[in-house]
Amino acid sequence: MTAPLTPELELGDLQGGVLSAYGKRGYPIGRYILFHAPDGVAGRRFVEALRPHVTTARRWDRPGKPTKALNKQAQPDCTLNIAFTFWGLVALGVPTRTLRGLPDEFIDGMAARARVLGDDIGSNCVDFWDEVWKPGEPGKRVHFLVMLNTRADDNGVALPALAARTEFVLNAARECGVRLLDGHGGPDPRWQDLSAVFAEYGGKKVPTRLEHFGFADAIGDPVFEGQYPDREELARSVGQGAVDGAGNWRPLAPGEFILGWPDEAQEVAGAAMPLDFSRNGTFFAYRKLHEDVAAWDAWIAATAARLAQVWGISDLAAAADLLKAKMAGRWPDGVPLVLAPTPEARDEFNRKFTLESPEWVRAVSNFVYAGDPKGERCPFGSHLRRANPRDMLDPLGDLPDRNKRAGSVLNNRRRILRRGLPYDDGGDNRKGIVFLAHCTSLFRQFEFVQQQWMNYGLDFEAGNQTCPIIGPHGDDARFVVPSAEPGKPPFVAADLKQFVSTRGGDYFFTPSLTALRMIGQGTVDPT
Amino acid sequence: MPTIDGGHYFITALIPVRHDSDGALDRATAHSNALRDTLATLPTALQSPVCAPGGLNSPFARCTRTHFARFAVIDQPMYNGRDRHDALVTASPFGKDPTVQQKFDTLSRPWLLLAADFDATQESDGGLKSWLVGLWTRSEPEMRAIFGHCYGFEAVNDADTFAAYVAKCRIETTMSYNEYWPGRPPLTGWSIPGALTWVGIGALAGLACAWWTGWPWWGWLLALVFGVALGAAAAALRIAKDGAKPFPMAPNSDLPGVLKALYVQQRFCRFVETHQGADAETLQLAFSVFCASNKLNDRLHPTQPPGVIRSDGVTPLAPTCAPQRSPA
Repeated sequence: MTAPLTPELELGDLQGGVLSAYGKRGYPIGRYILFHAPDGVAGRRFVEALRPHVTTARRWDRPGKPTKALNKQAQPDCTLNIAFTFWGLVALGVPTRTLRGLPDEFIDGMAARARVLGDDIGSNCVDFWDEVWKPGEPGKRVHFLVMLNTRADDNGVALPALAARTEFVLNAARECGVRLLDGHGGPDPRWQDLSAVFAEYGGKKVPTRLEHFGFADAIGDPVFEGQYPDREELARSVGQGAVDGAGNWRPLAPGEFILGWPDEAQEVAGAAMPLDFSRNGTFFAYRKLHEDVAAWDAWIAATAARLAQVWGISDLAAAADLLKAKMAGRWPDGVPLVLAPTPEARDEFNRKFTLESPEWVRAVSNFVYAGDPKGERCPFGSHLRRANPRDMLDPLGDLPDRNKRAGSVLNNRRRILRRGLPYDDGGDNRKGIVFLAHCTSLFRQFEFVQQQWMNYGLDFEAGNQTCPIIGPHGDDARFVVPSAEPGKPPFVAADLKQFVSTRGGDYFFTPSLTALRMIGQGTVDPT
Repeated sequence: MPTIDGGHYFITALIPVRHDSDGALDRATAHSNALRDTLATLPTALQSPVCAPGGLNSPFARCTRTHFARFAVIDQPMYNGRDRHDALVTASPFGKDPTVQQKFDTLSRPWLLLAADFDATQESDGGLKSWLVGLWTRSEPEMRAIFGHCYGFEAVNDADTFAAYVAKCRIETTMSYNEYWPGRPPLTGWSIPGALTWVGIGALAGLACAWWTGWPWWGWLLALVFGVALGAAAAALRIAKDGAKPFPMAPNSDLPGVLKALYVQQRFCRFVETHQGADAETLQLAFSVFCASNKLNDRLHPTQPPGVIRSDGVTPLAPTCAPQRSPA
């Protein structure tokens, strides 16, 4: 059998931050700025001013792994990327024939999709959003998102390049007549500042994986063809790609994440024409998610006490740790319950693999749910199963013959690339994450996961119950933790609060460098 | 998959819609339009947080046999375009002239579709008549408003004539589906080796016959072919017969069973929440009170009424604001 042709993504045509998260590549600090173009000329001038400075997906050397000259770029101190809302593309004068090829949900924008996303419930409602994201006057409509990501020094402070880049972008906007939109919720209303949570290590401040509830985040992320140099995705796809019934992993099709490439349905999906406009671009949902750390800590303390009483756990801290793990599907340090269902097993796992070593990172993703068909290790309703059910929805998953099982087939078209960083808007209890979900179909991928898996429970034998961590929670919100020990009843965690609420965001299109040129020059030609 | 399947009766009825004008000439419109108007304003069940606050329930919720029911107006079939053709055949002397227009199918008039599944009974018609009589008795005004736009409805004047009228318009349901089996239903399927066994038995029988009668070699061959064909035909018949069998009814999957299950489920969840961790004695006492007050063995009382999302007084999570669009 001859090896199939490997898709070779043209890295210099893709914007950076899509193939891999800047946070993971040594850029733990970010700044997102929003703009409005009063007319097409101003907007196109702004795009043209920024275009030469856009960071592409070309690689830079990693420790011990020099990059081929072919795909190289010098490592910048501060990256720059740009994305557009539908109204931004309208303002830029993109032709009608191209615009009408764009997906419905992207045209709607996130606020209009509230019913699908659960943003029409309680504290997710638009009234609670940062001013800049509230749909209001047409003159304040969000058109462009400029994303800056930067490296930090040993004190956890952004390199000076961030301030310089910010100045450059603001000057360009001023000169071109493009309006900066303020009204962000942080100390500086002109933009959204983001930062990884830092920790002291050997006298230095180093960025961690943690988000504000204390979980290690950004562990699992889909792996697809062409994503890494030298076919690294073959090894990386274990636990992160698609799995067949027998347990063999492969990278997902690139068209699930990058427009204009074959997808998991083995076709190139229709996209806005000309194809050059769409190819190598991607969509993403920008969601600013507030984490109510105070409510979370209080509820965890109270419910852990109840768990300790019901399950006979003497150590309250251990009960809290177990409760958090059952809700997330991973222990707070990232070790998955499927592989290590008890604290002892978790410690054993961390003895076997050094925490955060490459082996550990590979090991914490390498699992399927076939061995845990009742959720005794990892509850069905946990965040991890809902976000990426892997093989658990396999209708033939209970067959003893592994070759007859279907693996992750029902899940392969519902994957999203997770990007973004935590934020701390200063003051009391005003922390969270800016979550970016990249995919080629926001409707089929991001919105499906949000609506059917996070905010509903049917696929997880949980009726109307939502994700215990990020879902909206009403009067009867509860989370059932099955027990693995015979005779020991399940634990029902009740009275869940609204721990995570939407604070703003929208749907964006990240064009390729080719499309960015056409947009900036006003030469998008769909004929 | 027949009309009665999984213990449920799946009715499909197509009722012709009137062609004449509706109402006085100064506001004349098509019956199909007026019918759609009536259907659009018929309340749906209170089974979603969006519908529940309205308070008006579906007329179908007045019956404790109906699981799902819907009306729709079918006016014309979709034309899928010209028949598929092969360019080489078309170019040959036998090909059809591509410039000649092909006919497309139409319906004579719009038709009202009634599709419902309800609990079947032991009655000789599977419970069709009694269900239709119940529909009329419980919701005569709504049925008059809907069926009044249909052809021949003038002849309906009571429950019996209504039942006969709809039954006359019934067609066989060929694709029925309900999902009440927890896990896999206890069915034994046919496997390829199983079917081949029948073929093998046929072949052996043929050969035995040839041996018994002492036929020459071609007789053996003939008997073999005949035996194989007979075995294959018998297997095919048997598979077709098994396929036509109704799906077995899942335990307690009639509507009273489903409603009682929903009723108990909501209360049992709360019971577990409240009593988890209690000592055995307290728990047993509380559970006996729970069983007594909810009468677990009485399928009809207390129970959840049809057509509502829940019955324990808890307000379901519902939208509190409307989606917003930027003004143009």
